[in-house]
Amino acid sequence: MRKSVFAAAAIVAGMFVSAPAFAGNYVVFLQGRGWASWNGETVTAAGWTSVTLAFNGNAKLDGPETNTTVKNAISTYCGTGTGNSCVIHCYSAGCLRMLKAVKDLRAGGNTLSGLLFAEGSGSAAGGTKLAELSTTGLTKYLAKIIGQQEKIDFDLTTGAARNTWSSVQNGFGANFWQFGGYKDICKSLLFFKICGNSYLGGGTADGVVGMDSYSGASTAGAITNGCNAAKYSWRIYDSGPYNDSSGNNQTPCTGAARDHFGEPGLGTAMLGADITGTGLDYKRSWGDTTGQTGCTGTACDATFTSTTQNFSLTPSGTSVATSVASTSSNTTAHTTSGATCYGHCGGASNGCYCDSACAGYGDCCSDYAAANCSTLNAP
Amino acid sequence: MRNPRSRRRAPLLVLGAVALLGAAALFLSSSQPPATKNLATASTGITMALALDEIDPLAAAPSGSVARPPPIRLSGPSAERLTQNLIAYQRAAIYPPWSRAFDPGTEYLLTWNKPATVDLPMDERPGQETTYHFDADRAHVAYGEAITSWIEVWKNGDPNQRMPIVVEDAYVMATTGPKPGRTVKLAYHDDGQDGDAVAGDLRYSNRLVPSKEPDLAQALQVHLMAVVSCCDGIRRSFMREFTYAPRKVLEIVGISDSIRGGNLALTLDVDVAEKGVYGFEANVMSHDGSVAIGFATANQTLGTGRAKVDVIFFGRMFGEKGIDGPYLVRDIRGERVFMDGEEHNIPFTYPSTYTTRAYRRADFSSDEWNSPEKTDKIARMKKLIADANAGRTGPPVPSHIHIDENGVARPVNDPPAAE
Repeated sequence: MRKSVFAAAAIVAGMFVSAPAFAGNYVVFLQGRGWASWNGETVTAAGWTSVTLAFNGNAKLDGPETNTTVKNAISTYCGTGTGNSCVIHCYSAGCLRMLKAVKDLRAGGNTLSGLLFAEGSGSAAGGTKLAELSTTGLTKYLAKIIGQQEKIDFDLTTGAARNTWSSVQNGFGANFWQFGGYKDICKSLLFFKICGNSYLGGGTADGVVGMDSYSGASTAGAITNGCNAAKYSWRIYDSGPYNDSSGNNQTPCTGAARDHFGEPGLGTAMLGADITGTGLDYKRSWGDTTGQTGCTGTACDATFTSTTQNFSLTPSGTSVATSVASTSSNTTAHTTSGATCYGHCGGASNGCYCDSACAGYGDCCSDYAAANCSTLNAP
Repeated sequence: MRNPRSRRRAPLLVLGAVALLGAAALFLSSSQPPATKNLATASTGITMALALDEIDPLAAAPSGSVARPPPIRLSGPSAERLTQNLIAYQRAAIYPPWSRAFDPGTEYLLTWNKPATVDLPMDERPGQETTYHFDADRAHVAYGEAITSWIEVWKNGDPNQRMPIVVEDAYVMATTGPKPGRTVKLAYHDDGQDGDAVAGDLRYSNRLVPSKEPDLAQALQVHLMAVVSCCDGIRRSFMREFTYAPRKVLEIVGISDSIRGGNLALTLDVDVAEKGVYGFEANVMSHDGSVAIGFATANQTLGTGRAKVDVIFFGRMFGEKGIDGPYLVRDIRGERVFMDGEEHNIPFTYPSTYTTRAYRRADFSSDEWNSPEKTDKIARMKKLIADANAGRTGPPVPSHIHIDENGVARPVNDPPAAE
């Protein structure tokens, strides 16, 4: 008898887990650079299902991660004819993936009538200067500050995001709410510190991405008010109000008190508030507390003080998402100002090269393989 | 030590009981469509794991060790916010996604082929500040066209104080394709030759015709890369992105115009060399080109040979801007779209402008955009708002599903949020 009850329960439970087959409400989470999963902070709301995806946020934009995984998820949970309603929460480079996927779906005839809106946390869809500017050791600041070079970095320059991928920017067709923070990210190097906002050209920035990108502004430049910026179509700066227990709005037009690492948590809390009236934010950050002075010259290529740091971990080493270190080129444990491929994959280093052509030219740096360039340079 | 089997059964029985209630609720609810087996069709590549035995929250969880520091609680407007979203959508969706009147945010489309450049620090040492400017005459290079790029380093950020530099190395770098990396070697020079306007002005230039380069015979994602030294040995790696057409994929051989459904229809007569998905864009201006009215985009799958493509300018924009025709259509352009990444998108342009017939603005509809997409979206938003106001929630569903590397969706049991 007990066995048959158990079996009946299991059968019905089987029906239960297949409940997403019904037309339903979904929040789709799209991680950014440095993560291969969402960070564990999802929306808990009766009648809503959070959907997270396993894809490598390191991967180039125009690859299966965007063109298959993200595109299929948006089609499934937001597509016309599915009966579903969805909200997309994208983070950082995940927002550029979302825009490309939506553009391609629309070009293919899917009008995504189930897509109610998107929330962009620290959107890098407009690119970041840190992906273009190099140290004097020719390492991109983005690779140095985040502690690893990734394939997606080539899509995150201002020029790549706004020119190469210009056709994805302006036709979203649903409200794309966006916000970001004003807290800098400074990482402790061997003798000095390196701080992202020092290289983001004035304006407000979150240590990695400037407000010109994360507000949806259609022109790159230094801005300090996300609400006033002239934006691509369908973009809105999300100034809430989303109040904490003291009644302080966490997302004013001048930016949230978060760095790039803390934005997806706040964004998830905002979505929770949208849907249920309340949301929880773990208020994470990735900067180191340090009294060091800022680096200049090759000092910015030094190793991290804590060489095990990784953007998928909090500074104290707790995992928040699946790491992409195995497909990246590490810059935390290697000085990147010399003849090294660490942080230089796909390009030039100091007296040698780290692209896939270097073997033919006979000018590869000696640590080409150790620096993981074979993986980063893979087609 | 507890029996692992009973440990697995306990939550299963609880889940089953909850599921019974859920199933009853679903059965009683007439507002829900019948169940189907799969979350999605095979065409989407996502399937739903159905067997309860397959549920392994740890395996399915995105991370084995998820940090849970004490959270802060945000209050939000819920229904009020959803209403705000609806109002914002209704305001934006006066125009369709494919054609809108120009506003300050979209006027960048009038300079659609201007590279998005940012001036960056070359030397940031106090008292020795210099910035560099790496620019080009275009961002998208049509078949047979040249791209001229130039490099300058400015003292104190002043464009009039150029500094001498050494371009140590420069290449067209590919980031996609079979062999990402160096393709075409480039020379930057300041001799007044081959794309360099003025000799000795400390602006170092290069002229490149991508379609003439064998190494660029496939459409790749590329950028110009230059390693530049200056100013007491300071070195930087510069980048400037562009797209290009290695071959002619489509040619616009004729244009006509008409009023269709209250909109301005620009009909392109195209000669297609490669079948595929194509995107088209254009801007419409007042006859003298002084007033920017609006833009339009279109997507169409085309076979080889001659075809017609309609680029529709939404009628409302003409009355809104208060401009009578004839209208000047310019920036007629597009790209062959590769959705699976087999090549980079290939740009093409129409080298001239087009003037329409002398329509009056009253000839066009002043109606807002209306379509099943918009109607459906608004209906969903209104339902959510009504549900939020009434305190209704949907049917019980898994709170979290994770789609793994194989495209299989699995329920995840998140740990409860600690406060």
